[in-house]
Amino acid sequence: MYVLALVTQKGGSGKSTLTVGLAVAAMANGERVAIVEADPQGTISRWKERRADTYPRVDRLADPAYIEPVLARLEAEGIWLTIIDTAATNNAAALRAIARSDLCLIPARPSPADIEAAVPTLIAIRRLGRRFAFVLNQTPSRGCRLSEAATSLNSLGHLALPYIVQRNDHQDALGAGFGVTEFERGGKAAEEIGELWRWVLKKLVEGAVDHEQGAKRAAG
Amino acid sequence: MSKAQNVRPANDMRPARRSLAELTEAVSRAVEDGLVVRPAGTVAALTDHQRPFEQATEGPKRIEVPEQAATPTPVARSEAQNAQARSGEFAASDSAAEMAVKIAKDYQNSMLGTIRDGLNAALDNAKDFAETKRGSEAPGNVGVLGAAAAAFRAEALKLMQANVATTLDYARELAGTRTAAEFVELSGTQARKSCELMIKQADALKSLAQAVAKERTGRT
Repeated sequence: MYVLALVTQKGGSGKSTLTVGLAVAAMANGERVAIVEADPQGTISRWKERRADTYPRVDRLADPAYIEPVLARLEAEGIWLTIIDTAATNNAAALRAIARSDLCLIPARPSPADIEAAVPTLIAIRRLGRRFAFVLNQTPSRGCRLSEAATSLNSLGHLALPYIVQRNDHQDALGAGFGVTEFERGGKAAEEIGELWRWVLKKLVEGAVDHEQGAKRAAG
Repeated sequence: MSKAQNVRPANDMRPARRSLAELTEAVSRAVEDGLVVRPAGTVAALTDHQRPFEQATEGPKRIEVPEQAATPTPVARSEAQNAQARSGEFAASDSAAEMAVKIAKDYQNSMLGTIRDGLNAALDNAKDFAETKRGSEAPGNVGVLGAAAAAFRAEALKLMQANVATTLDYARELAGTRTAAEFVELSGTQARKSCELMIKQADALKSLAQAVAKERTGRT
């Protein structure tokens, strides 16, 4: 089972919306996907209540200590991908999510506040030796500030592609209990999220291959 | 009506905008600083039990660390090289130590909350019992029950001290953690220690209650 964590202590950066969008996009090939909601705000649980589809499965995490047993149970149940949505704070649940993830996504808007807020998250990720990528989120569709933000985030580490432009479809899909790829098929927001998911999947698979090769070298 | 009010005076200079790239350099330095050993102050106190650097040893689907060394930009590459050169120095930082203490405090609060609830319940019971019996029993018995309440309070103080000591040990160990595997293992170990401590404390309270009851029976 792959584990993807969305982390940053900046509120409003789009962790929950991206979690939902990516989870639904990941289900496109019939894969079983789960979301672990470690954010007491409950955005995803409420989205799930509005949703008619059984998947993605949503597990709300009351206590950070439960993250391991929850992930073990999901893996035992045959879940292929679990996405952990964390709260906008650098708490124990976020650290455990980072520690347990194959890839961490750090959503950031093109603003100084979002970039600065990533510092403790980046330190935690690097201390825990996890892979990560920034997602430039809620961006304007073009402009020199967008490219400036992209260059800046690239200098701090990987920057996932494409950038996710600020579009109403994301909020409308969330309100209607859909993923954005279900809500407006063929729309620009759906295309961007679909492409972002393919980028993330590539990194997850690459990471697994790297690990296997590393294990073989260690065994040899 | 004049539009003069809306016009910025010629001598009112607008502050120069700080570019995101410039800000990101500061962020990058903050992250690097956060990963490097600082032997002074509280950090030193938290890191005096540091262990040598070890690679994470995890299950087959885990992804190994070196990832960000492959960062595509020249800046990121040089950072990665620097990081590699300093890998032997990687240890707790101010931020990481703060996070470790935060997690430890979460545990402490959770443990102290449970202990406090238990003690309050015990004290309430002793008090209620004393008040109920006050009218019908000899003054000596009321004294015994008063002494029981005092003994419970004294015991509570000892238990709190034990909890604080365990939490500080945990924070110290956590600050020296370098790999995800260590972090997860340590969290599990701490959960077990907390449980064991709670059981011991529950036993201590039980024995105290039995001793008081015995003393009271002996007097009547």
